[in-house]
Amino acid sequence: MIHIMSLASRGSLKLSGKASCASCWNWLPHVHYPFIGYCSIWRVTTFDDYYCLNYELVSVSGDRFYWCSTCKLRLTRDDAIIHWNGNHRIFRAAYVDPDVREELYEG
Amino acid sequence: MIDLNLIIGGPQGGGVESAGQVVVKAIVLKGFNVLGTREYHSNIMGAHSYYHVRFSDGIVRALRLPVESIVALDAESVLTHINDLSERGFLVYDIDTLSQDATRIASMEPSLRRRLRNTFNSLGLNPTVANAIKILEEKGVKTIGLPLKDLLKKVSAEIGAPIASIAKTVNVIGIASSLYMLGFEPEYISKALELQFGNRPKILKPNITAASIAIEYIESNYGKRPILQDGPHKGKRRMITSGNEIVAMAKIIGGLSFETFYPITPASDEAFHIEENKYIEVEGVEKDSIDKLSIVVLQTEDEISAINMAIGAALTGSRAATSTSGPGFSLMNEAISMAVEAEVPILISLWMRAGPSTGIATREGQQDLLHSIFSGHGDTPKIVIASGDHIEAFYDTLKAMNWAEEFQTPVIHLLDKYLASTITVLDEPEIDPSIVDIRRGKRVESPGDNYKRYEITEDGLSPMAPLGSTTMIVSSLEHDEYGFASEDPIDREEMMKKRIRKFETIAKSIPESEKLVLHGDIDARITIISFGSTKQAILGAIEELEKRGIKINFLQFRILSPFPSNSALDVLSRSERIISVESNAMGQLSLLVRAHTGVNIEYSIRKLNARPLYDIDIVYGVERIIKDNVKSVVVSSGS
Amino acid sequence: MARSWLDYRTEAWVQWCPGCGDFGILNSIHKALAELDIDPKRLVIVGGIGCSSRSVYYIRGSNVHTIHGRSIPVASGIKLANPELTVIVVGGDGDILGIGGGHFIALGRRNIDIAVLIFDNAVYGLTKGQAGPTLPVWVKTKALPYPNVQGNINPLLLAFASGYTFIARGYAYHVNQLKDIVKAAIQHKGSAVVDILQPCPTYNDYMTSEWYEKRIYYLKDEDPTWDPAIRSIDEYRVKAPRIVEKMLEFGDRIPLGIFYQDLTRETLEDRFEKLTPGYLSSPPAKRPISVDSKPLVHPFKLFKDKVLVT
Repeated sequence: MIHIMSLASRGSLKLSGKASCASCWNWLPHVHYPFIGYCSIWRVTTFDDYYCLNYELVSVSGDRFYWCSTCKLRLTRDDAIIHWNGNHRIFRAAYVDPDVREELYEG
Repeated sequence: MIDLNLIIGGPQGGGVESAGQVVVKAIVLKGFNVLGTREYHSNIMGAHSYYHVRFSDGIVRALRLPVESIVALDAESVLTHINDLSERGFLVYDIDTLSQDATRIASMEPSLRRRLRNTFNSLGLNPTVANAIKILEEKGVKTIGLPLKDLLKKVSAEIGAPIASIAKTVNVIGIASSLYMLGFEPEYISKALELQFGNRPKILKPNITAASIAIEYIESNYGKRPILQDGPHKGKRRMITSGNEIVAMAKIIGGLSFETFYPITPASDEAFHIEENKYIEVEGVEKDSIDKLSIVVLQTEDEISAINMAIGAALTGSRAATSTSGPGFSLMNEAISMAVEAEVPILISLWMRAGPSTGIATREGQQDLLHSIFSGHGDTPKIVIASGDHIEAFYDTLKAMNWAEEFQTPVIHLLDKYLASTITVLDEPEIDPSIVDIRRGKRVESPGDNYKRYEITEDGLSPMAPLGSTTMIVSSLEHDEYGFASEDPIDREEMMKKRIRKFETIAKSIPESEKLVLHGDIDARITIISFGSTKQAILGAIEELEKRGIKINFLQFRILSPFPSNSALDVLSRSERIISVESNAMGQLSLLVRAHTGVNIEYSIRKLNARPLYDIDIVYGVERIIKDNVKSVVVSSGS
Repeated sequence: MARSWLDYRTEAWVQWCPGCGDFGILNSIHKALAELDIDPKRLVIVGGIGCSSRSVYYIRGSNVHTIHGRSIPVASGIKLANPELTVIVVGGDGDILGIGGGHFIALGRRNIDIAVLIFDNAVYGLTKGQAGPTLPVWVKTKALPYPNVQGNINPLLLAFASGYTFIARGYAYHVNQLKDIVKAAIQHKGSAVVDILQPCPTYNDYMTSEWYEKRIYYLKDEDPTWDPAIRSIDEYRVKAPRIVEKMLEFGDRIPLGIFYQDLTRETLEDRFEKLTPGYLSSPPAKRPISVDSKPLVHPFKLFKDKVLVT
């Protein structure tokens, strides 16, 4: 298991100075406008500079999918580690508007 | 004279579509004519898409570049459209995107990224949004950097606790800023939002708030804007419709009762709109029990099934149609041949897109002209009609359904991606369905015994009885008059002649005025020939060229099969210089004209980049041909 | 007076080889139609391309001869546009299961009330005996230069997996038994398929009448309690494994008869009627489309949601 701290000790981790939504495990950035996101604890939309006591630092550890908002890609854990090491912004998942199909075209 | 263009760009799924719709509504409410089109990638979410809108107090014939306003909802939109903005125009963008660099925008096409890098590097700059802003400002463009996040926070604060719909106001902040800059009163923006989201108060409220916050911001930072005078179309009932929608409407109005389809861009939206309205309330039908009529709309397993099923339905006497695009039409070829041999009335709406092969599924092309005319093996004459604009598409759909039944033949209605996804506004008299009577030809409901499905007649048309009315045989094999398979040489020859006579009947029955239209001065020495959705752009170009002292007329080919050879020759033989305008590489119309008239079309303007043809493209092309005496101009505008 | 099977014959000369199994099938169809007393004017036989598809010329009806593999879509269009008609598809294994395989599957999903009669001789007769989709692998008929290298489809299992609600197998030379099966298939409300084993004496010298007759037996003869009807989901759960087991049996022993008849599933026509009441009484073929040549509806009235007042 690769824990966030082990990555930090390898010198590849850059944490934001303050514990805000932008680096919180519970926060899902909007797929297109990543300064807005959805807090899965409070179940509300917040901005990336908000914070609260439920803050939990994002990490790539469990064998699950992740979201790289830099590349706009869904990643498996192995991929996520590579993106993380490249200083990309990794999240648990992305927030997609439930009515997004209204904005989509036949393609 | 008001004549303005704007672009709203953003990631697919990021609110560009509803933003475009709101803008179109606001423009129509304000009394202007409008044309709006969607340009997008073949992608579900994330790739760049944009809405291009032009509005005017006059007729809006085509979209035009450069535009007076760009709303860039993300960095990619700023960079993608950097060359699309007029010097007199303004850009609305998010200041938080300033540091973004084209080389690091994942969703951007690699080729565009490379081009931007090269262009910026040659100026000694990196391809960042900040540098793009710098370049634009040097050009004289006004740039309006919105502190988008702060504005959204304000919205969120004003409507109480942050709720999920905040993200849905990003686009509205952008367009409200743009519309206000252009001189739209805030009421028009709110009213357009009400029309868009009126039935969903939870979305409407934050959007109204977002619009007023955006306007407040613009006002306090850029001053109060002069009000744009209302357009001339106030106090009217007007309809906003896309090409897909207007064809669907025409099919429903014209009595279509059976439509099949297999999902394909840009055709499926048409079937979708029919399905949405497949259960219709009718008045004035004498049959007592009916107050609602249904249309069978069925998604089939492939396009082969789609057309064959429609053929089956047509044989029972139903008005039947299918809609598709190039790849699906390829699959339909054998059945088209059957429909010719078995004499089945069927309408195929063919929404062309950029080929060959899958090509670019979501972009414009006029490459299926020859394919449609020559579709089907064997000698397979059929009707092919190409509509020039929304209004033509409406009436042509009604006529095509009539012709299919009157002449017991497949009719291919050529449309394209540009018409499919372009939105326009219409007045009630412009689409008056009573102008085209519903005619069904030589139908017999009770033919009695000894019915000959393929009775030899002078006009080549046999009385057509529906399946189930008597014993009969409908056959895709060569047959005798009864429909029994026959390889007898005389039967064969008679049936070949019958089908040719029928095609001659078609050619004689459809008036020449339907087949081709000469726009402009008959004595002009330069003639543009074209077909399909290029019509309005050409008309717009002719007006513009006239202002520049160049007189041109335009011969629009509407019916490509049977080909109006003599009338075409009449016009073409008078012209000194003929220029074909087509969005295909082969010059398909030129080939066809030469085949039918012997006239060699020496000059051409072609658009090959799968973007819509703009009026300025043609102006540019004609000027090159006249002034530089080049024979062939490829026009390359569009993002 | 009820019709006789002779009323369903036509004047056309039947163009099949001497000894062809199709003759037996044709006769069974004539007899089944007579016993059901179906009005030939209201009967639609739809054929594809191939020897057997030519049956459209040999059965009196309001018939359609289509193109190769497309009889099912054409028949589906006919039935959905006018559900009052009796619609039967005739064709070979190559036509229906080979080139038309995709449509065969789709019909099962839809459960349109159509009977599909597969004249299954495992070869392409008209084109000189190439391997059909039901010819087993490694079989080398005289007509083939090398043995067949492609495996065979199990039509019954394919039908079962696709959702057909009536699945049966018959044998071309058992005219009376086949007649009863065809009758049941026509009477069944929903998509019905009868796989009719049929020797092709000209091209298939492997699956001959001797070959078949050594192997075939009737489900009912083996098990007099055999009842293919499914009346509830519970009955389905109980019977399905045994039905599938019987469908899988194709080798030394080949069962015949009705394997499966699901009476619980609604047809596509019923689904349309549910969604848009009035469809069945006023289907596409019969509904009015105009009054005095004028449309029944106006765009500005019908599509109000697109209209705004400026």
